[in-house]
Amino acid sequence: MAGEKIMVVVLLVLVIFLGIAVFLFYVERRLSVSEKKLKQLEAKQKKQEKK
Amino acid sequence: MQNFRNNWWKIAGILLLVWVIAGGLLFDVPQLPVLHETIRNIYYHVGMWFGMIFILFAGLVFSIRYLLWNDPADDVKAYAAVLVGLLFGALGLLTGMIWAKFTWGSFWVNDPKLNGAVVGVLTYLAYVVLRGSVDDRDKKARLAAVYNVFAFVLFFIFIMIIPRLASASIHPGLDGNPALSTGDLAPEMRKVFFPAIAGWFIMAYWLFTVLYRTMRINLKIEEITENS
Repeated sequence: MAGEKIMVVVLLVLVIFLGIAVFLFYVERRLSVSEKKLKQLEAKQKKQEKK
Repeated sequence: MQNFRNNWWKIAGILLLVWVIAGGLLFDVPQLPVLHETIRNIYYHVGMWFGMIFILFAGLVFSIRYLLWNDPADDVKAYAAVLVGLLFGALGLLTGMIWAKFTWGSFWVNDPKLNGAVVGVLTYLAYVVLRGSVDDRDKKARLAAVYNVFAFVLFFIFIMIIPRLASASIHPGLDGNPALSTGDLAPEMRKVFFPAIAGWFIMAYWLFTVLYRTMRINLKIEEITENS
């Protein structure tokens, strides 16, 4: 019984931890997209300044 | 392939912590008086605390770099490092309080090492308050960098020197580092403890990179809107 309980706790903690890891990967993906867009925007702004 | 090359260390960190969570809760541990099964908390409490010290040290390096070369990126990096350090510090205190409840019977006891730890964390909290109280960007960065150097020194005085001067503490590690001194850790626990340290270090660094990138994007957006 105690063995079963600890297995449930381990699985629960693992699911929470892996959820956090997946969320971090998702955030990083979104950050990469934003960085790309910002670079394009900066390039555009520089072009306009030159004109 | 490119994705794996960029992310292998994060995957390694995840695998290490999966091992630590599973092994830390399931593997056999020595049955010691007072501690009993709570000894397992060493993988989380000490690991997070070491992770905090590692990332706060990185913050110190970035602050010194800022003072030397005046690169605003270093200031943002130092800020991100301190915020991650505070998160790990809070988690370290929380896991420590839970451990204390089950071994000493109370969430908090009046002890120089415990009080030093919380004052040390508060010193870093003051860094965040200081940053928030200055509007001028350069002034804020310079002040914060100088304070961060002092904060790291103060932090070590609070957690290492003052408790040693008090000469008695209920918390282990008064004459060295808890879990790292010879005889502190049972050999069978090392296969989880050392991966735990590496895993928490990687996790702290990963969070730092995410936070730094977020802050950098916000700053760039501010700059672009100011210029347009």
